[in-house]
Amino acid sequence: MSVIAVRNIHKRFGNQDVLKGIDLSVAKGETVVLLGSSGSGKSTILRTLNLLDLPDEGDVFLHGNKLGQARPDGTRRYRGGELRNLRRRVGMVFQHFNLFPHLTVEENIMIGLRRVLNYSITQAREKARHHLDHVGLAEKALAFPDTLSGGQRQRVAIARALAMDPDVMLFDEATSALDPERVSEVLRTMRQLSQEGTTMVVVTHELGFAYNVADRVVFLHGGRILEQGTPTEILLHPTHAPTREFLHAHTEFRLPSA
Amino acid sequence: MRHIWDFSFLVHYLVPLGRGLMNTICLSGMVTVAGFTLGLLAAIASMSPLRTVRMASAAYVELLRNVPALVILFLFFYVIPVLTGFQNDRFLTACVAFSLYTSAYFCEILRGGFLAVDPGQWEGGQALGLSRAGIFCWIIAPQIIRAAMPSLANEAIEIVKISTVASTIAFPEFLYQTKIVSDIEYRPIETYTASAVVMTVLILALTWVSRIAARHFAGHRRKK
Repeated sequence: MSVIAVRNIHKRFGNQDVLKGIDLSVAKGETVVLLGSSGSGKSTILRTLNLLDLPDEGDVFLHGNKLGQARPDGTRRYRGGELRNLRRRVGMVFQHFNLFPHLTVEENIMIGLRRVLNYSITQAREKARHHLDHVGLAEKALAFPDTLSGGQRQRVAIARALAMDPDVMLFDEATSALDPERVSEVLRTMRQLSQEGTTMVVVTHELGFAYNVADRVVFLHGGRILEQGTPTEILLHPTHAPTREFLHAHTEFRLPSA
Repeated sequence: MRHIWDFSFLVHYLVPLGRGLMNTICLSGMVTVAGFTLGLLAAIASMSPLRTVRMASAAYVELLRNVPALVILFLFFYVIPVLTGFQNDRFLTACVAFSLYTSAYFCEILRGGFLAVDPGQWEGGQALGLSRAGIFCWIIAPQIIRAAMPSLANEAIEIVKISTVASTIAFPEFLYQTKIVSDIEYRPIETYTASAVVMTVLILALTWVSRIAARHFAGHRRKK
């Protein structure tokens, strides 16, 4: 059964149709990479999965259960408690980290444990330390986010999401705001999670990550899923012209492999 | 003409001057607390999804900010009692007038602090499953205070100075007592010099306290 799924999702911003009927289902332990040019709707899909953006049409399922209550006009209404319950089961990592600057690294991780999962301070600190160790930042527990590099901040953000023991992790262009030489440390952490069996949905422009880590690659174009399949199928043998153009644009200035 | 400086007469007026100083501190303290609270409510209203509530908040701020404190004080001391037949004592009148006046400034300071917080902070909290109230309390409010602390301290200092306007309705705050002493002794130079020194010391003490508070709210500020 799928951990998380969306069916026939439509989303408009103003008079612009961003998503035009998306079906996506993510199985336990699976790593799905969403690719597509900017404006293709890939970030919006991710934000729909934890209902940070509410869809105009369509359904969201967590462990097969449809979320929200039906309204007479056919749209769905989501209560605050249900949204919070969904979001604590779905971890999210943002492009700009969204760490809390007034809290130390460990307090950033503890706040969700304390205020959402009702851990005691001692339990929360212990868990925060464990997850910081997991992303290789145990020695930064008492530092403030603004003293860390971009890559370290993103790893703290990953630890913060992981500490909630989510059923699925969402990565929204997690490496796009980083200096090029910091990208790989975050990608390595993400690959490690994938290998440990974490269920992940990843929006990225890192084709190498998609090729080496993804179980499934989904290519979006104009608010629809154009094609999906194994990394080899989509990245090496795409069948649609937009996919080929996208891949060409992303690999045009590649170094020749030795 | 040479003025011969002599402050010695002031020792006879320590009690009334001390009482004036206490009144100034009480009035300023009350106005700071009430003005901050009203300003906070106005700031929250200015963020409302409802257009009418936002406009009401804007009207409130513009009205109070563009009228001199003295006019608001006279309105409450002379006009409102005539219209309503209800007369408060001078302390309460000054409290109400100055609280309203400074709440407009507090509102703008807090609104500015709110706008300075990255909207991504809300999403960061939401993604963890925190409630909106929880996000506000644990994540947004501390950052507003941190961003707004220097301006808030500045406004508290401003309030101490504004409180002297209450001397115009014969509320016995520090400046009013000073004026009486000066009139009795015919020694305005020494009296006002001494009162300026006392006010400066009071405000320096306030600045010192606000620095400690700012450091506290900055979350043990560190070196980069």
